Amino acid sequence: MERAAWDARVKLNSEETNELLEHSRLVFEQLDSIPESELDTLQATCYGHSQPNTVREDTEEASLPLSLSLGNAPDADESCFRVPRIIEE
Amino acid sequence: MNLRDITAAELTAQVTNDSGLLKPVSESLYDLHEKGRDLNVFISFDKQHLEQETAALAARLARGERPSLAGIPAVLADNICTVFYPTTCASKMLAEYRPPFSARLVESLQQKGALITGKTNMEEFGLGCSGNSSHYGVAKNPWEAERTAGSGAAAAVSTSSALLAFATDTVGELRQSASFCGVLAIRPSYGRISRSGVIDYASSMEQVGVAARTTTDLALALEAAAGPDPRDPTSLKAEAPPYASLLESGEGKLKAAVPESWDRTSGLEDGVKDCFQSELEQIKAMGIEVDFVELKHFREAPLAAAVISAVEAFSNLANMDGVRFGCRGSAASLQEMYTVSRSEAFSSKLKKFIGFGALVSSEKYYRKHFLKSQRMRTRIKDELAACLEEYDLLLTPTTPFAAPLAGGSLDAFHLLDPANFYTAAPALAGLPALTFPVYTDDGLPAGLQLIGETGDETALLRASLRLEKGRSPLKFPEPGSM
Repeated sequence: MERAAWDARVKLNSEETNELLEHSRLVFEQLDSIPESELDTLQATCYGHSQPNTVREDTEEASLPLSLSLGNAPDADESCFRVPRIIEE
Repeated sequence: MNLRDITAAELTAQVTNDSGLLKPVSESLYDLHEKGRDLNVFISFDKQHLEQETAALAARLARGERPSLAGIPAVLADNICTVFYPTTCASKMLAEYRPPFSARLVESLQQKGALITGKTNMEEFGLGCSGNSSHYGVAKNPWEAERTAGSGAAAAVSTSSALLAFATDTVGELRQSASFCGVLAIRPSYGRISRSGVIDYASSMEQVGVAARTTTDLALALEAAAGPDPRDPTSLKAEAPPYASLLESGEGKLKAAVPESWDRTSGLEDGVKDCFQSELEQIKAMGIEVDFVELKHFREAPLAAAVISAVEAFSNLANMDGVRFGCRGSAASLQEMYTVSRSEAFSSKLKKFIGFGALVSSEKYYRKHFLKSQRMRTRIKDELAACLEEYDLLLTPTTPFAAPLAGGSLDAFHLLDPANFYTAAPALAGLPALTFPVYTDDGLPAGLQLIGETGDETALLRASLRLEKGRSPLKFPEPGSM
């Protein structure tokens, strides 16, 4: 669970961790009660319809203006998102 | 202008003939907003914006334009992007977020003359509808303020603050809240309404739906909102049917199925159970054939939906990190900043949900539980498709209970949300589903859910109109009781 919280980039306190453990166990028990053999031959369904996923026409369009792109940035300089340093000293 | 006694279709006709009515409409909306402030329905509502919208529409009408939704007040859940209002997803994470563009849906509605009056409250990122995770507090139920509305969208329609509301329905959120607030709502087939510009947490199930007070209004709204969109690769390529004009030609023979196991859920309230049984009798009396059928896997849907939606939320919300989106917490390193930002901004419920998504995505559980859930999804989809080959409709209650008390036991964390018992299956299968308001003996609203074949919203709307005609007018809370 600690690893999962790290992957999700969230901190869970001990109460939250215990609660999540308990509920996860409940879900896993219910999943385990469904025999694998009943599902082995079935394909996984990934989307609500079976329409092939298509991409739009590759036509050139104007980008968002820089001011709009950076408008919601928590921290920015003139043209870039500013982030804490990645390589720690 | 009394918005309680007018339908969207009637209002459009009146406004198109006399654009001078837009001013009283705008004043009424503002009054209703002020009267309903305590209900906490809106996250954004701006009188000045409303006046600008009405002035722009009046100018269009003066030029001879006749848009199909002229003057209809509509609201949007706050995860549908708008350039003219912030889009917060009811989360502290996006409290300051101003989208650089509006959702395709918003462009369509504005083009068709709807007045987008405000953005409504919801659970954080639209996850569920019976908890307490909104950064802005619980949206209260107009029928009984100590109960939750589930979403501000449904509450706004119930109080006439809007005649139409658009909100996402992932595992059933819009249908459930419409059931709690006594209004109609339809979740169309997956892909029917573009999700471009919609901030969703589980893309493979999420679909924008509509809430309204009459079936005709639902059809009008769906017709305006639906259609292919090249910006959403999952949008259906087929053009949407002209729902409003097809509505009246549906008096043929109808055959409906009810899952035999419909009452085998521990959360089913007696009031809802009695109400559904009584509705089935009424439906039979209307000449609709009703059979109980074995759907062995219908009950597995909430389990599969919980796993799939958590994994997708873990992935979809990964960009809420204090760099690309969201508020930033203070930290020395990048990794720590991600964790601090997300932990400070997300509710405890959302943190646990995406933590579960991360757990199931891990090497240990991915194949064992996630792929298994996706195969269960296939089985549920196939079972429903086979049933709907033989029957026109599938009927269930919408939720096992009436609107929960805010702060009650349902506030607690549930991976398996009991509210999803009936709504998860059509969401997994991408089927259209409609909730029709019914009432328990205690006078509280509940919902009758109609599930149809994929792509065939028309059949649901026709059946809904038939139900509407066969009973006394729907009830709505008196403004004074808010």
